[in-house]
Amino acid sequence: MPKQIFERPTITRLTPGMPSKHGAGSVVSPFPVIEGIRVDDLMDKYGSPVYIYSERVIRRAMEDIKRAFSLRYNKVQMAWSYKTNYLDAICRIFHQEGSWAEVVSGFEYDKAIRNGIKGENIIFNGPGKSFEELEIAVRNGSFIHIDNVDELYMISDLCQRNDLEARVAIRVNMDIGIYPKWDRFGLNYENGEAWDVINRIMINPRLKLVGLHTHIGTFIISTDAYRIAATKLADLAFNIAQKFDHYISYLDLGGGFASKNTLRGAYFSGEDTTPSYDEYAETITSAILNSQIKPDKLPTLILETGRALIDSAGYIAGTVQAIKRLSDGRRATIVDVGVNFLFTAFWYDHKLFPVNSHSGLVEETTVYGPLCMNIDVLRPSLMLPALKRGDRFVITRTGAYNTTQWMQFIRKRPNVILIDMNRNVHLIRRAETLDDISGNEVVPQYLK
Amino acid sequence: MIHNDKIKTFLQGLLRSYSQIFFSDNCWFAIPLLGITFLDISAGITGLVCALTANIAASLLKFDRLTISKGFYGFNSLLVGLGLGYYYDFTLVTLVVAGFAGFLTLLVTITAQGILGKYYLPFLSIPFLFGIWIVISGVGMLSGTVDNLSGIYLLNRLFSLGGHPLVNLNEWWVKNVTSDFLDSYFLSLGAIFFQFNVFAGIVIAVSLFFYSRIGFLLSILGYTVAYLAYSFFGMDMTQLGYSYIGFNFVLGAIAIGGYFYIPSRQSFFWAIAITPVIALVAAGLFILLKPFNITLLSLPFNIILLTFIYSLRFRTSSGNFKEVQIQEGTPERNLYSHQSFTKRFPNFGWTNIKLPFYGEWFVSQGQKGELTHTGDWSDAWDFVIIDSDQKQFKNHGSFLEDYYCFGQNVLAPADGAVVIAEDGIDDNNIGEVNTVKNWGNTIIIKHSEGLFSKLCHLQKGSISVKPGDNVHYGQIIAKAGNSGRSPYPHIHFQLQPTPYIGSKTLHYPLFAYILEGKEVKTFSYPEKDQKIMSLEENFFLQKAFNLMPGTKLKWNIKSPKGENHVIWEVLTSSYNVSYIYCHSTKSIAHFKNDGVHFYFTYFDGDRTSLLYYFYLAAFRIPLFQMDQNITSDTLPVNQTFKGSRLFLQDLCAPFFMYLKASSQVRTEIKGSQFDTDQYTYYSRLTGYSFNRLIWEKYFLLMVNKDNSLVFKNLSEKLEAICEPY
Repeated sequence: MPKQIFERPTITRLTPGMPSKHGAGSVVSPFPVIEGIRVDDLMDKYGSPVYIYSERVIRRAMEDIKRAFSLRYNKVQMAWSYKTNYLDAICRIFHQEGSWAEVVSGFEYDKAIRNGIKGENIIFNGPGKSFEELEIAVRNGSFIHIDNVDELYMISDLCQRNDLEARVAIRVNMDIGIYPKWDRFGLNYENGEAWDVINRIMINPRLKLVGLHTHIGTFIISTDAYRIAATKLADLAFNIAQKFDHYISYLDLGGGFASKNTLRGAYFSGEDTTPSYDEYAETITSAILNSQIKPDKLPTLILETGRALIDSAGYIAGTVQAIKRLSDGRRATIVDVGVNFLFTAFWYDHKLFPVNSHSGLVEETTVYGPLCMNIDVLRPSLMLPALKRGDRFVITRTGAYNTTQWMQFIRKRPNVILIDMNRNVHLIRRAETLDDISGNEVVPQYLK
Repeated sequence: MIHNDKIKTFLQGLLRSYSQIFFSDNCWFAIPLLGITFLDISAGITGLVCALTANIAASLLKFDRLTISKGFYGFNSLLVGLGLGYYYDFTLVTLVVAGFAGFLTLLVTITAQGILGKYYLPFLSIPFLFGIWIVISGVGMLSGTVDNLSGIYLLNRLFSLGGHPLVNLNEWWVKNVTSDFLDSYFLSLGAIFFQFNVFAGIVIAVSLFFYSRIGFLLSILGYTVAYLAYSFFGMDMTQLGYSYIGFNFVLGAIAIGGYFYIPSRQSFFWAIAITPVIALVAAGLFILLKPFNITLLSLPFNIILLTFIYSLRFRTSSGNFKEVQIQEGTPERNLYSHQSFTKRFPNFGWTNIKLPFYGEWFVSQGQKGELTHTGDWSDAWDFVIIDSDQKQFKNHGSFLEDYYCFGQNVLAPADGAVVIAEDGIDDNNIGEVNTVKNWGNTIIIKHSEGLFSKLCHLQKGSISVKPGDNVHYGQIIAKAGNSGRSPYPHIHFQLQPTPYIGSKTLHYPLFAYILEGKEVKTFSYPEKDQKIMSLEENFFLQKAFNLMPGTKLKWNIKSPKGENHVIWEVLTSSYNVSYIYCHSTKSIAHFKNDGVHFYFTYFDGDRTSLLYYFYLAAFRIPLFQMDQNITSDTLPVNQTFKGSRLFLQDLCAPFFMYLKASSQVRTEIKGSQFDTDQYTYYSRLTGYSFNRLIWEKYFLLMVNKDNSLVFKNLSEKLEAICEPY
């Protein structure tokens, strides 16, 4: 008989009778393995905390989304949203699956080129592109998504000066019936600004309008918003064809598909409320197919889906640092993963599972990170078993944004590992050293 | 310009009147034939006058210029004139008579064309028979005509033509070549032009050999079989030469063995088999017509050929003995074109049926499947969608919505009209089947007479078309469901000959699809457990190769020989075949574009021209987006080989091919998917003799974004650039 685990005593209120609307009570199952590999083994080797990615989950997500769209529409192209996760290894998996690169800065642009993506397969988005960045993108034949009129003038100017031709698209923002209305990116549809810029591009012989882009927001749970967006973009494309006899090559519906995470404050779990790829696909492709665009002139549909594809493939494994009781009697758990490493804790009610089995009894606790900052709260309230110092846990669905928006704040960033299709473990970003961070610093002579 | 054209048409028509007697429109072949008619000067002149009258009259009366230029309106008149000159010596009266006879024969020719043309039959030399019988009988009544006796005084004539040498040669021939067989063969050939001497026969035989090896072979074959047949029946062999009979066998063999039918073992067999029949008809008619004092001439050949061609049209299947559809002029060309065409376009004219869905699907049951595709219903496909775990569903697959294919769009597989759209049958729960309404919700579309497609097990309430609606390929007509005898969601797709639900199936191929994401199949049958996907049209290449009639391609050529400009024009022939015409070399190249490939199908003209190189390089090039794709094809040997090599191949071509020319084209794509900069085709042309490589040619064709072309003949360091068109 294996040795029984010691668990400190907890007091739980007994609620006899019918279950409440929350069901019979919380059950927190242990999470001992990821992709068939023991989390304990991974942590023993790679330390705590550690970011873990599953290649299988990534590839499967790509397969599912590609199937959902290509069954309904002939020409679909995925473009990997670098800002969601630009670890080279992760990007390369997406590129292997046929994704292009969607970048929003010169830094990301360089990264995409370094990952072997051809210039003509890069979509260059973002509201603040510099002259130099634009010039490189134009010379490489990348698709530049114009965000504002100043950018249009800048591209026009640089093409004129250097005798170049640019492939451009415009980013359009529009009212799609949801809140918040994103109108800070791109050119507005309703007030005619987008149409105005389209006309300016069409009469400029150096600019080739190849696409139309919209990005209606992030974590959009309503598929109908996409219907409206796709319809409005298709209308623009149709108007361009009518006026200029020019056929747009692609419609880029951006990203924004929700992952299976639960938003903070959401009543239902994300697993239940997030639309499937099929639902998004059905809505978007129907809108384009039902538009006025002639069937033989239908544009390619580009998707810059990031979050929905990568969120479930990422995990963070960490360790409990301390348990304490707050002034009002609530219990608090301090762990070694803070909002510095789990930035998405600001938006999501992340799920947290103990690695090893426990008695089954749970109690309410607040989960704090290790930072010396009041904002460092992972979950204000969560039902957890009675963990103790040194116990390990896994936070699931952390693949999106956490390795790009992470902060180097008072701590060095840990190892990132990838479990490949054959369950081999690869270190894809080694833990930072003091030199990695302080190496770039220059101490003036007089302070030495 | 127009005037010149008229004169050209007329001269071609006149010259080809001579070669047309051997079913040829080759002007070079006509020249020696024209020459030998003057061995008997009287016949030569009246023949020429007759042919002239017919061609002039046909031109003035504005008959079809193409038919005139092919010599079709002249050759019967020519024969009448030759006959007239043969029987009557040359005087002013015969000359005038010849003119009228020529016109009379033209009228008969056109009438014969009108009557026989309704049955798609050639008029052959029937107008000649009518003309010559009337004229010979009638002219005898006229005074002012003198019988031509030069046929009798052979030596006199030879002397007048060629002096002593010719007379001596004749003596040598008579002394040394004592073969009745050969003598008679040459005399028979000469007799076709009313020249009863071996010299005429020899010239004709040699010309025939150079014009067509297969034709020459057939002439000997037909004659030999006749000779043997006559010997066997114990008939008088000399009759062959002197009674104008022998050439019936020669022409009969050429017509059946190589001209009206594709040369093959079968055609040779029939050329042999028909000869004794011609002999029989000749013997019978000889006796029957004797009382009327009518000579047989080519009557037996005409009767047999017309009845033969007409009767064989009623065959239910033509097997390997096929009639020539588009006459290319020589038996060799007909054969090589046919070989190439049947190999390259076995499904020419078939309806292009495509896959009825978007994206990649999986064949869960193929044709002659083990479950339900059996017996009369065996030629059908069941399609589902699977994931990388080979599962058709997500979750546990307990609900219809779990199945990937459930609710997917179903498309019209080709243009057509809806004949049945049956809806209202419930979708089964997983694992249950509806054995009463077997086919479930069903759409049947009529594509052409006897070709219907049927799509079954559709989702209840999803059918968006009704009977009578015209649908076009790719139109969404329903959603995949699980109605009828369907335990799990799938699409049942079949082609059938009748418009009924439950009709038996038709074995009919799908036009074009991508197999396993990498191989393009055309006119094929997807098989069980294959993953298949529709092939998308590529607008970039479609635009570049969509050569509409009237398009002009202006080339600027740079080669070691210097710079040069040529202009090509896209035209359409009366057979509705599109072709490129090169103005400077007068070369033509027929092409075809089926949306998947661009093909050249025929070339005629200068083999050092840019158009010929282009014809080789772009013999078959893919029009779909697939980088590093390799496409191969086989070229007709008469378009790629020449000289003695081809000469020898011609002789045995109906039976055995040892020459082979093939092309391999590799595609390279530069630029982005939506905004491709350039497609480059690297073509490698190879020629083999007995599987041994004997020549190689390399070409490069670049199609640029601005619709300009760059073409390089890498073997000859020639580079040509075509302006955007």
